[in-house]
Amino acid sequence: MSEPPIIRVQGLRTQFGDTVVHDQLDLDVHRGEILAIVGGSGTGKTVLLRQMILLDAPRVGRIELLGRDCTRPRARDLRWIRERVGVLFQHGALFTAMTVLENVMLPLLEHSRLARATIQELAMLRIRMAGLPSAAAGKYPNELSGGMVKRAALARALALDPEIVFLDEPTSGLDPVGAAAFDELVMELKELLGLTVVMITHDPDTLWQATDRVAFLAEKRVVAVAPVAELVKSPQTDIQRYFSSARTQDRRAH
Amino acid sequence: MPEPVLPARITRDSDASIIRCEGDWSLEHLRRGLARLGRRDQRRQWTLDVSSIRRLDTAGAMLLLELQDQLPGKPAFDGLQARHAALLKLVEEHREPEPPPRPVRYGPLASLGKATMDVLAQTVAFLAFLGEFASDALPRLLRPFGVRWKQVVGEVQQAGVHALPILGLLSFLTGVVIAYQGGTPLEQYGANILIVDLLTITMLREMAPLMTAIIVAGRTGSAYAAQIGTMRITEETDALRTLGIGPLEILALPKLLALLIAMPLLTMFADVLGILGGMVVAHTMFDVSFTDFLNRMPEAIAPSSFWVGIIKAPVFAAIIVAVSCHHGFAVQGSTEAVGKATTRSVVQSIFLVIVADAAFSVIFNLLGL
Repeated sequence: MSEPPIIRVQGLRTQFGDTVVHDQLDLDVHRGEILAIVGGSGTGKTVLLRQMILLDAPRVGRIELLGRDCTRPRARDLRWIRERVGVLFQHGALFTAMTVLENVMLPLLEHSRLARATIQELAMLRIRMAGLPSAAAGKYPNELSGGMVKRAALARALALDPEIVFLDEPTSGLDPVGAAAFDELVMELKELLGLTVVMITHDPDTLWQATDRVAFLAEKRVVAVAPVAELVKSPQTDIQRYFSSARTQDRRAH
Repeated sequence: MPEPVLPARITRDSDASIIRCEGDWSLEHLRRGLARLGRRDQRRQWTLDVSSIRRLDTAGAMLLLELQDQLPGKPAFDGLQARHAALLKLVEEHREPEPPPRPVRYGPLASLGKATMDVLAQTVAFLAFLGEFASDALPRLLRPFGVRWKQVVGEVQQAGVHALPILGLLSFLTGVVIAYQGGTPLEQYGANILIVDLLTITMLREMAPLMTAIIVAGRTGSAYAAQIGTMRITEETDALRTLGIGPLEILALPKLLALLIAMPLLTMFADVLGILGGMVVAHTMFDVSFTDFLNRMPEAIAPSSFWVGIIKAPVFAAIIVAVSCHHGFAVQGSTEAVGKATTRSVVQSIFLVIVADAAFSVIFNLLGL
């Protein structure tokens, strides 16, 4: 690990009114890994993710993406980062007034200097890479099933060939078969495209199958970062409680 | 330490028949026409040398494949690095030469027909909504204890009380304008006192009910359409239905009752403020004192003028609630539909209010009021 971390969060403090959500939170993400952020509800997973994708600015602390300080980014830096970071929102956040193809083409039209026909072809490539049939390209988001919405949203997140992809509960709302297929897709794309993936998830199958490391949020900070098999052996009570529930056991063997 | 930028480029070595691809073949360094070869180049045999490509992403890989397609005999990539080979394979697998499906476009005649049918369908849908609403609401009104009065009060507060400042100001200004515009010609005949007749009749019979309806349609009707439309998209109306609560009963009926109560009161308020505005102008510009004005008023108007104005208010209220709730419940699919429903509800309610006002004029004329 001689390379500096691709994402570095240091001394983060988040506060809403009197409620302190994060205090002295540190987290490093290495290039090319799939890192999951877990923790009970109310531990600020989504807030942390929103700060890492530079939607909310932290009051105290420092956030570095791709080796650049992004705590208070200037407009030019922000654009540079936005071209290298893709986000899959929990409910897809596809633009409902556009077809899937137009959704995927939008960032390409905005950020590249390629001809429209090439962009269209690139967008189709993303849509097919995300595992959607070509016919889905001309459909509107409200005509898609839940799993297809997630795939279309992933295609849009991958549109600019990002280096980092953030996934907010990528398998929530999917059936087990669809969820497993989605995990596999993420792993395959990570391998082939050299992506770094940061995800929030509650899906035990995803945790056991798809992640390289898991960051556990409790007591207002990241209490442990380790591969899931090591994490379950941690003596921390919060971690024990989280993993002792039958739902979070490794179900692969069953 | 940022790496030096090397834009993607192609160099041809015609003597050795080699096309060299160099630099960063990643999205931000690609530009249009990069992989386009001339006619003459397309006829020759080339070797494709990709050994000096530094970075490659899927966009670059796709352009490389495009380049390869244009060359006769599809030459293999020379000096392809192992990490790039996997990416090229991935892109090649998922590439689709044929263009994506095009959405259907209608010709002018078909569009006209579609628009006509849409209008007809909308009219039918509106009538169906009215029927459903009436059959749902009337039995409930016969048992007034079942009506959600707490919500009704809340809606009266929102649609009525909160509208007072804007309605008051606009009515006052309308009164000022009418008195000012009407007063100048009357002054030439020395008939200043007739400002009172002019002002009270226009205000009570027409302006106050219309102003109120237009403001309520813009302020409250649009909010109703947007609220119900958003609830349609978030499936809240469906949730209500599964819980055994009629969406019309909980969403539309309280709004109807609230506006039936609020709009006559708002109209009265507009009457008062409008006449007040006229009085101020009459006093300051046309020498009609407040006392003269108030003394003249009972002579100038029949009591029916007041009632003729007020009677319109509940009708306008029903129109506004019916139109805006109808458009709200008709929302389907996208967030854009909510915006359209809101716009439509305002435009159509104001349109129907003015049509109804014209109908009232004819009826009152026939009745001799």
